[in-house]
Amino acid sequence: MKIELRGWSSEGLRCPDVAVDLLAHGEIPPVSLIQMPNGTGKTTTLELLRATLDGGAKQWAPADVRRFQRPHDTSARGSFKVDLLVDERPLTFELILDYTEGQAFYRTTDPATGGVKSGYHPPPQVYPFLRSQFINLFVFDGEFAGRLLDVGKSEAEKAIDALCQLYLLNDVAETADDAWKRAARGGNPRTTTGLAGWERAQTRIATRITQIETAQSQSKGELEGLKLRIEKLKEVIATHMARSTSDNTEYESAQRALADSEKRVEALTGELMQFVRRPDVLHSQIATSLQMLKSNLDSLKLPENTSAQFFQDLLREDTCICGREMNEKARTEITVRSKDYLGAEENGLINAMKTDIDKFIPCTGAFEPDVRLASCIKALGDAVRDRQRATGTVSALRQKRIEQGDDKLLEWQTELQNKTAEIKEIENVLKEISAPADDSEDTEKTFSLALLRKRLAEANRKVSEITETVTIHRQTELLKDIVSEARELARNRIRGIVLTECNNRLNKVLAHDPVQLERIDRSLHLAHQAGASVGQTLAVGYIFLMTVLERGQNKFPLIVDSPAGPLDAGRRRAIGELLPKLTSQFVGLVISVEKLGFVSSLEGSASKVKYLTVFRKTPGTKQWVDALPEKGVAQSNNAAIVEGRDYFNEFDLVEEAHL
Amino acid sequence: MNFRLRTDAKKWFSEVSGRSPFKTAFDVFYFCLIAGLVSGRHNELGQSENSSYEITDNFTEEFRAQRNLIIGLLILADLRAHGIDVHEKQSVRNTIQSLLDPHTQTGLSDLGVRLMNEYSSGGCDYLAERRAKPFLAEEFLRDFVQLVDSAVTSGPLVGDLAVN
Repeated sequence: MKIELRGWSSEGLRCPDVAVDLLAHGEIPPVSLIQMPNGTGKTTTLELLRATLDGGAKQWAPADVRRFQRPHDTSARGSFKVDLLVDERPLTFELILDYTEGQAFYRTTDPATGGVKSGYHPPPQVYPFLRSQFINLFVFDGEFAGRLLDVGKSEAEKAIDALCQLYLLNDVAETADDAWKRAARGGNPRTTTGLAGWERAQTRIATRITQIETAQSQSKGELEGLKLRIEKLKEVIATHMARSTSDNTEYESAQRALADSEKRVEALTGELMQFVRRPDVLHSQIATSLQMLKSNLDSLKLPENTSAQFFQDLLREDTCICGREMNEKARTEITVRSKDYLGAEENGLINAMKTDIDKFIPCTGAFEPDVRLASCIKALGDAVRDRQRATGTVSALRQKRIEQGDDKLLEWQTELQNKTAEIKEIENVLKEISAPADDSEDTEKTFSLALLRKRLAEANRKVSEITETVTIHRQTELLKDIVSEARELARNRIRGIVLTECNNRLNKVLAHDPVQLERIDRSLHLAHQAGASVGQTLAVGYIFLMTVLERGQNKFPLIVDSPAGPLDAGRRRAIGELLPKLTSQFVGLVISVEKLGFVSSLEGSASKVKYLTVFRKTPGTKQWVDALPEKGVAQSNNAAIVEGRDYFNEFDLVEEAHL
Repeated sequence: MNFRLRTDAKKWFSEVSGRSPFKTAFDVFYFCLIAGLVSGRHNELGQSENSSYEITDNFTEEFRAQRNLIIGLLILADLRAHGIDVHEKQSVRNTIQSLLDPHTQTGLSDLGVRLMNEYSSGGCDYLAERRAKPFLAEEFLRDFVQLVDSAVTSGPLVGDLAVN
């Protein structure tokens, strides 16, 4: 499917009344640039584009609706209309805002289904791509592509979720949960005692879980960001110290020793932990005692060859195994004596234990202390001492430089210490969040998600019991578990596929400036991220987005507010060259200062570019209106829109002349 | 019945638990349990000074392979605690019957899990009496091996051998 943006128009809204037609000679050009000076409503336009396409304004509160009313304007209504081409067939959505009632309405025009209809009615095949989560992937502000690589955010994960439409799984879980809650509310409780209290507890705990999950997600992002910063600071300090003429060699050698000893401490601690987790290795006496237990059980013939089950079966027979009649007295006696035997399954457990003792502790007679454990402890002790020595040397050399007046080093050193302390704090918070449920803690004070989920489950169970909806509640919980697992599985699988596709595309598109993605989790991670430029980062973001969007052979427009805003001229050129290669339709809302470097490179890379300039008609812009060209101009009461490359390029001069 | 950890043990281990290489709270439970089993120290949970919380209903992945050895140590400790001669077949069988339950995922009866919790609680006291709160995993692990050695040397495990 190919979705193209044909144009939009606005009337009676906070943004100026304009009709933007993107067609040029009957075709949609690959690039359209709409120049809108600050204050012309770029952000509002983008917001209304999204709301008109996703149908979300129906949920707006009256205040949200009235937010779009132009100040001092008495119009009772405003409307925003978006014209699309879906596989070259027109489809129009109109959002109407009634300021008096504070309500939003939609109108859909689809010639394929009989023309204008009241309400939001996207064709079924288009609907999945017009969900807000999906629209955010192709209608966004210029910093979004960069945010995909921000480890403090989770934009890449959201993009993957939108691509797989994993939010539909959330919808399933929420629908099931709502259905249970409705059933519980509409139930016929035998008693209402405590019901209101448990319902309040449900809400309170669910809210706290959401807050803590958000905090957990943010903390994980912050942690990754801090770790990257610490790596960078260490690099910077090392490079700085290497420039020193006197201590250079000694510092480098101490740094290498420190890195080496830290690695050894970590590896040996892990190895020692593995030994400690094995009681048989931990101490020779433990091994001896377990082997002794096994020998005693053998000599006691435990477990016996006969299990209690044999005697239970025998009781059902008419005659005993010895041939005598099975009378009541014999049955009673056999029942009593069968208790002296272990059951078949108990026998299985004991045999498994004996087998494991033999497997882990070969019966060699004398048990000596485990040499592997002893040598690991010794090696760890040596590594810890090496680390102490190296740390001391590194600190002393840095301190020497600081005392010699190296303020920059002092600044980095202080930041390093602060960031290290911050990491510890965040790790402590994350640890508390993932801690097991400690029942002694208060719901309001605990950070343990396990405890909160346990308490929520308890509250849900109580409500379901009181309202006699236990079965439907169990089914709901099962469905939610399945949905959650499916979401994780899908996420992981699609991440791997998108990673490969992105890297293939990066190889082709950025052949002159190679960069690769190392992994995708909540955010994108570049291989050697610390060395990547802002331009590379943004390029990777765009390439990721287009890879995600165009999976499944679908094509979407890319509508970006300030696409080159945060970049210098050189990087604007690079992004300008890249964008037309990535998408069949690029629509950029730009301000005049973004044009340098960006526009010329777009022109060089795209076959056709449409230029539009929009400005508000105010007393301050009267001279612009007076100087409008004769052709290619459309005006409304409060705005003018001018088509043409020359006017577009010279507009900054027009602006400057009147500032 | 679930494995439970003393609340003060969580605090005592707070600087090292949850960080590599201590993967789960069961690691902390295990340190305390082994200290309790080898020193013979055990005490009931539930009193205010011994408040505890559930950590898991089964041996965690890292300990599955050692499960039967740990259960073996529990059987030895219980036989010792009740002064049972390891050659008395009936008494040994009764002890095993009371501690094991083939129908649970741990292989332990409620009593078996309760005793594990009690030895873990005793071990928690044993460790805290002999060592300051740990701040580095590498230091604690080396000390733990030493503390187990001291407990074994002066504790009841040597007696197990003597009985044999």
